[in-house]
Amino acid sequence: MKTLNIAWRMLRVALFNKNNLLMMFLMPLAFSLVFGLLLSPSGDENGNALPLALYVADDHPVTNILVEQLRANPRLVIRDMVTEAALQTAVQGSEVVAGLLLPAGFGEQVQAGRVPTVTLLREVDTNLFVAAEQELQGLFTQFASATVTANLLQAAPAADSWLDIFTRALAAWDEPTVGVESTAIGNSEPSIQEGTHIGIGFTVMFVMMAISTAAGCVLEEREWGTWPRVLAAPIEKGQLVAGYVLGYFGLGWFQLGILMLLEKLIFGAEFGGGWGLVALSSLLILCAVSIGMLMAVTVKTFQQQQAIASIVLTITSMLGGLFFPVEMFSPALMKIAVLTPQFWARQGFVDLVLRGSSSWAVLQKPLLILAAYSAVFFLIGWQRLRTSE
Amino acid sequence: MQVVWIALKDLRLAARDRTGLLLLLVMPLVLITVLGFAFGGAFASRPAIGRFEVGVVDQDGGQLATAFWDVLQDESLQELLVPTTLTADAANEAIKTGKLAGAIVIPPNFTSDVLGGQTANLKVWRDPGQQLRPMIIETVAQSFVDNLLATRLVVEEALRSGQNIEPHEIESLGLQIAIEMNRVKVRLQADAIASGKHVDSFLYYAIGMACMFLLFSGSLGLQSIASEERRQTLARMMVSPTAKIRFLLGKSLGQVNIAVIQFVILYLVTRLVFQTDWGSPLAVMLLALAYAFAVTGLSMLVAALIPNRAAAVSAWSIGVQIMAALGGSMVPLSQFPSFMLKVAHISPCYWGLRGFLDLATGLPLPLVNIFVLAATGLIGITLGTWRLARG
Repeated sequence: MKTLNIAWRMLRVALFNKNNLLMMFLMPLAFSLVFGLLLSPSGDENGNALPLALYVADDHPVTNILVEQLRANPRLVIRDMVTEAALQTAVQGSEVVAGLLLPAGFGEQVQAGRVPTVTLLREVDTNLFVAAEQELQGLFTQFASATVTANLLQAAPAADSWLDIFTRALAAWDEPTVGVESTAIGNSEPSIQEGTHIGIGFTVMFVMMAISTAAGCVLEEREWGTWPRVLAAPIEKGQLVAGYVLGYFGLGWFQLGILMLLEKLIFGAEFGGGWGLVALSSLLILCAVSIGMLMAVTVKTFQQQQAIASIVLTITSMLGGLFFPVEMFSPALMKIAVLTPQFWARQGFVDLVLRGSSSWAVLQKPLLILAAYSAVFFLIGWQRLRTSE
Repeated sequence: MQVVWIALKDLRLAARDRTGLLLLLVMPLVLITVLGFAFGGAFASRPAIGRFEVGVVDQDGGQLATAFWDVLQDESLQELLVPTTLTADAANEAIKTGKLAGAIVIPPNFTSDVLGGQTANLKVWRDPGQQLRPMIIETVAQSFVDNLLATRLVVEEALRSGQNIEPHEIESLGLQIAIEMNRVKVRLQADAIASGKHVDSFLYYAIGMACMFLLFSGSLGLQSIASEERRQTLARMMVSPTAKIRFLLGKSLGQVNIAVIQFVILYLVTRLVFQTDWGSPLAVMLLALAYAFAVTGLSMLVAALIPNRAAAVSAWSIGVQIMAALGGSMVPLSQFPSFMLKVAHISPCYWGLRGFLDLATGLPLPLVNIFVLAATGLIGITLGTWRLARG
């Protein structure tokens, strides 16, 4: 009963604190929004087409067809430039991903079967630039095919004009008969939204952040002088710790539940369900509590604990791949990434939600690693707490 | 003179605050190190993604499957992909467990369907748990299919317009067409604009983190007003012969000083440890001063607008992180979609970061940025002081 009482009191204190609420809910949503906008794959239907500056120094039917095709491409947004200098300035100012220059005589060269060269300007090589380059290469493959068709057929007697054949051959690409069919393996639900990766990342990060900073309240009580009174109260230390841990669990579940709901409603993120979700979330919270406890008994003041927790957790979250995909990490950095509990928490959610595997065989690794981290942090923290008073 | 004393007192308090120092100096330096190493390649000539394995499941056994395997051996693809032949089951299992990012499956009868003019699809199986690699695999498959289709369309068009092609000729014709297409294909010459120096990931994040954590220092100003209120020293200041305006100007000056000193330390450490070249020191310092001024102005404004100090401090620290993300401190500006690049202009971080980047690449002093920052600072300090002094 005392245990429950302590838990309930903790929960109330934490939820009536406006700062806590901001950190628990507003921050992860704000981060999801900003990073969602920044990292959404460019060139998709969501209006994030790649901006490409275009300067055309040529006037020829073939060139005009190319320009039309560029404009019609939903993955590109064409910005027309009136001079070559303007093209350069646009590229330098990073207003566009790249600048395409179609030189004088371009159309004629294509028609004559000579090798035309166009220039693609860039400021820095980014993956957006590579994406734009890919788009153009695809278009040029179509052009090459149409050129060869026109060259081949116009020699025949009573053939249509080169340009007619060229246009017709290009139109055949509108309904391709050979294609690529891409399927996600393992997941029963095909429509996993973009928001899921980011949603998982920031939910894990801010649950850890909120719960482990909340775990610093022991220090606050020490500063207020209420801690010795709690210790002097007729209650066993085991009951006391159980009460606190239970309180944090309540808090963690409350935060996770609401965050998952909001992330789902606003960003379309999915979090899966079943025993896997329960086990993962519980271990995530347990891990956060033990990290917070360990920090609380290591430093002296509440302020220090808050600062250390936010520094350590932000850095380990970045290293654990919660901000950026770990696929971008170098092998050396990857070895560090797997040392963070956040990496495994994210991994568990990715297995559960995105890979759709809820079997013990797959989830045991992240679950056991999180459990091991929690146990180690908790034991060290508990040891110090016992010896400190 | 009083203004200066107040400023100096705040500076001394800041230097003694160990937690504050941790946040303002240690954290940015650690982050610069982490991000600098993490994205060592991101700003170089290639997107930062290491070589990875891709499964190839050949259920066709035809010549196009062989051709595809040859394409995968191409030098430029070898830098990115390690193709491995797998059975369908093995590939499936490896993808399910996340060991393999994806596989390209050449389905049964693919070769005969493509050559026979039937509809055919190359298949990509991808791991939904990974973000970037499956996209690359799809692109590789698509570009192979595009080339196939290109050849086939030529043959089809030739047949349709009554050219006489015997079935046994198709193969050699296909080869001829492929060679011819390769010859006439538009060459894309990618040119980097010589915009002076190259900004590597250490320099970028040194600038980005400096901009972000200078903003954080703004919360010191808020906290110092808050703590003077709590300890009742504010009330004493107010009844002392110090004019309110002077007191507030002193606070502002202290705040500017803290930010400038913080910048100088970050600047020196990154220069010495990571050998980052920020560009002309005088211009950099001028811009840093304007930035510190803007930070101070904004913090005075927030102090004036949000009377509850605790709320102001937490609003500030949340605002800082959002502004930093919007301004390019976390994800590089060059990766921003065009819409977000416009939104970025509302962040003071953007104006600072953009200016420092210009200086680092050898461009002249960005007067517009300095003006925007200085104006923000001036307006913020004026309005903030005015409101606070009245209240």
